[in-house]
Amino acid sequence: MSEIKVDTLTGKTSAGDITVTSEGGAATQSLQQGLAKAWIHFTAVSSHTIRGSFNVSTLLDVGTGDSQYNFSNNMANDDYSTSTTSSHNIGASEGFISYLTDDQSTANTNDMRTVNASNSSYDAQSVHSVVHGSLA
Amino acid sequence: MSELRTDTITASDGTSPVTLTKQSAAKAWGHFEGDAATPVVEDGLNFASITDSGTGNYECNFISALANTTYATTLTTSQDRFSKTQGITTTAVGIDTKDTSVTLSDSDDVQFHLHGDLA
Repeated sequence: MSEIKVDTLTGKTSAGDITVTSEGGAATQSLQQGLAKAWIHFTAVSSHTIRGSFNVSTLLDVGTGDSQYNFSNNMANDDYSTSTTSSHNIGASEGFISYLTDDQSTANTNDMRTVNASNSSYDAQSVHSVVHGSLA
Repeated sequence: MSELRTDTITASDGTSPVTLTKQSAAKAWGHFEGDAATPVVEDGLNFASITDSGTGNYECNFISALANTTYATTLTTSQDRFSKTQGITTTAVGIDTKDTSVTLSDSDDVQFHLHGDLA
């Protein structure tokens, strides 16, 4: 098996576009578009604290069950895709669900809500979010 | 610091996929407006089109097929809507969105990510 050790990969024709071959060999796809552009794992109980993150500069407590994080490097637009998951294992407040706040995500911030099983806004013990899309 | 400039990366045999050390790239992702009269694709990777299969039910069709149906899909919807996969094939993933009464209902923003192997 051959191996190239290098610090930076750049597209030759277009700096932000490198093509890789599919596992089955039937297709090719953009490497950059498949990479996560940001992710965060935080707790919202007591105070908002980032446990781990990538391309996230700050985390804001907007209100009960309402959190917003800012990107270190902005996205190209607000059309990116976010997946969120949350959990809460303190007391009887389980069955957490997370979703995006309507029309509140922008190229530099992402806003999400967490609710408990009664659909009431509630700060979750763990919130996870991953972003795919195009960086500016 | 070293820098490699290239348009395409393949394994040394010239056809097989290259290994990303201890990392995985998404094979498809998408963002669409599900409450429009005709759902609108906002952005995506390997996301060919969307089929409106009924209220709160969508089929997201891939450009390049997946190798099998064991891929992982994660979903997020907008406020007061919840989601689940509904029918997974190598060429499309079905998504249901429901309101807080657990009734099929269109959602404003629907977003998905998919990891697995392409065909």
